[in-house]
Amino acid sequence: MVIKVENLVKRYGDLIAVDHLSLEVRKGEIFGLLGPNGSGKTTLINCILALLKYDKGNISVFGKPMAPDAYDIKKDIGVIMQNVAVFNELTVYENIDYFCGLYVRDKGERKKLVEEAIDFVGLNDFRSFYPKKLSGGLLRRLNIACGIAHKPKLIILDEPTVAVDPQSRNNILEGIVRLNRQGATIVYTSHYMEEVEQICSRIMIIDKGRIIAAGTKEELKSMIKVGEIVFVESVELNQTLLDAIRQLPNTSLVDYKNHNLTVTFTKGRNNLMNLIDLLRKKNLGYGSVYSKLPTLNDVFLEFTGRQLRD
Amino acid sequence: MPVFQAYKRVIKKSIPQLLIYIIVFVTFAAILMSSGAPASTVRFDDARARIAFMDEADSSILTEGLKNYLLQYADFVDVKHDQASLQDALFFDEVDYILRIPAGFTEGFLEGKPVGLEKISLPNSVSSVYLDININKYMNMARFYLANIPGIIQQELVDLVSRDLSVETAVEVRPTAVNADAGETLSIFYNYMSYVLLNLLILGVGTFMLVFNQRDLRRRTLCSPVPLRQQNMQILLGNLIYAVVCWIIMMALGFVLYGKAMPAKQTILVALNTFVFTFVCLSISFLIGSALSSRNALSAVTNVLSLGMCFTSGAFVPQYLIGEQVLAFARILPTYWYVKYNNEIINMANITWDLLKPRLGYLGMQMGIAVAVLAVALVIIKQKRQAQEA
Ligand SMILES: Nc1ncnc2c1ncn2[C@@H]1O[C@H](COP(=O)(O)OP(=O)(O)O)[C@@H](O)[C@H]1O
Ligand SMILES: [Mg+2]
Repeated sequence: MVIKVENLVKRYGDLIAVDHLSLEVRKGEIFGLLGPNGSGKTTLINCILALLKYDKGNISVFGKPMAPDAYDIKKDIGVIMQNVAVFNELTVYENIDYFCGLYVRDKGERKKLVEEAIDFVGLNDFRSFYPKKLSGGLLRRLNIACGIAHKPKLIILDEPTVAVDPQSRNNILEGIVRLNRQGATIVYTSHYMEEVEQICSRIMIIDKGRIIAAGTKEELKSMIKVGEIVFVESVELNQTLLDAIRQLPNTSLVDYKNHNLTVTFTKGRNNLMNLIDLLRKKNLGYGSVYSKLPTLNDVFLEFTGRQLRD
Repeated sequence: MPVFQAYKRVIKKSIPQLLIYIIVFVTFAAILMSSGAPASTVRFDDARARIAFMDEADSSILTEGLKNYLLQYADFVDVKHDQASLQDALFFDEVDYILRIPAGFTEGFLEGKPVGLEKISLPNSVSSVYLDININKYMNMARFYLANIPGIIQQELVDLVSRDLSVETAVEVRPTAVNADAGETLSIFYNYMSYVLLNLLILGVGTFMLVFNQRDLRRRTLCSPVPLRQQNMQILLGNLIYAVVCWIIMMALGFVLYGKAMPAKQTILVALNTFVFTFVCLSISFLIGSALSSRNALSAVTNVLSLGMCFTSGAFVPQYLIGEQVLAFARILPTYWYVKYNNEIINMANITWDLLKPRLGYLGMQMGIAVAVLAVALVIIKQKRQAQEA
């Protein structure tokens, strides 16, 4: 077990930011922590890193209790904070060299590692730039390079893609997968379900400091009733027709707005076929039709009654 | 030593900003050298001031004595005693100097209370400066007798002071080792140096501490396996080296510009003072760096603090020109003791242990202030850390 958190409670005054939360991160996985803003992801990470004192619970990393002075644990962790944390007074190279230098004393080895990190995030053309001169996406890449240059066994990334252009985002996500393939265990927090779905082997959804659900994405989706959501655009329906749709097998929710129809089906076979058949039989014209499998957002929606993103 | 490395790099990035202060200082010193000390080169004797003497209390023996004494140096001008007339008189160059003796002055003075005379004078007027010195002389002498002869009555006091001062004027020696003009120049140079040192230290040390203590950056460093104690030692090392380098630069400047003008003994003693003062600056910078959290605040505080401290302590204008209350307050400032030490050491003809001993106390005052400031800084750091972990 790389990380083990038992029954963690963290209060800020009256607010319970982490509420009796337990989790385990296994060696070699990409563990996703998904939750809306303010759900307690950063607080949880900061507790795991022994940056914050907590009210209750146990945290161990690499099988040993985590503490501010657990330096033999810290040497194998790489941290990428939610906010970009680099020296504005230091160049790209100097920044990576500084953070790597906190872990690796040997100059020659460090030089090699810094070069590799620069290569890894693709900042070769920007090595002597000061952070103020970098775009948001490049800055995020620098932020990541600073956290991984020393080749840690455990890498914790707290929302590393906030405010990043799609190209940099893909670059970052691919990089994380590559790091994982090279042997690093990854903890990845985000409020973007697509990202978490894309790269994480196991996912924990949290809200208000509590666990909503946890498992692989397939497991998570099988926990909810929603099996499939079908959209039909530009279709003319009346009340009788809507009632007829509601009578179809597995229908759980029918929504009709601005000539667009959304039908949510529970799990079952031929849901889309049944709907199309009905429309044909009634001789109704319609625009495009498409269906969507449930996302983690639907999981979140079903458990909390709210959308993941506000 | 990654933290120390980062320190070096952050300072390197700030060099242009720091250089400004050194360049201004060198320019100032160059002007000072070419023109000589502004006030002392002029012959005072010729410059009789025109003074408006306003006694708000009914005149006492003491104030009459002062008036009589000042007759040697100034012509008394009658001006209506309202604010507007006085301002006009000053503006239209009818008087050089307005001396106001506030109500209750004599009583307060005799009881040993910290009362002061109020004055308005034209800036940069040689005769006013001279008058300042003489008024100060008189009042200080009076204070001296008052303190040392219990139960002395006013008439005796005035007689003694007048006698002493007339003798002194007749002799009129300035016991200086270096020649009087050079002495003044040296004082001005080394006193101004306090301003430069304050700025260099606060900007350098403060900048690094602000940068290093940005919350997320700090947290990231805290995640590393470098123990906190080692991080702090590296910062301390950076601070010490930076302070010593600043001091060496200042000393080198002093040596290049004025090395010949000052005897070796004095040079060493002044260097010692500057060294101690550098560490006071370091401690102040440390406090500011720990208490503030933005660069803008840093430059604002640096300005207010360095200018304020240097003005009130007499680093820019001689201490004898500064009001008594201000000077009394300035005693809690390290600059006050730094300037006082410089002035007294530079103008000392023969430095003996007996003469030196009390001046070493001034260094002690500076060190005491440094320790107190450091203690406050450590408390603030501790509180900030606890707040961050909570
Ligand atoms: N230092 C703090 N003091 C008080 N409340 C805080 C502090 N940090 C975070 N919170 C609150 O704790 C909750 C969890 O915050 P956070 O861990 O930052 O969530 P997330 O990272 O998931 O967005 C939020 O309601 C936030 O407002
Ligand atoms: Mg967060």
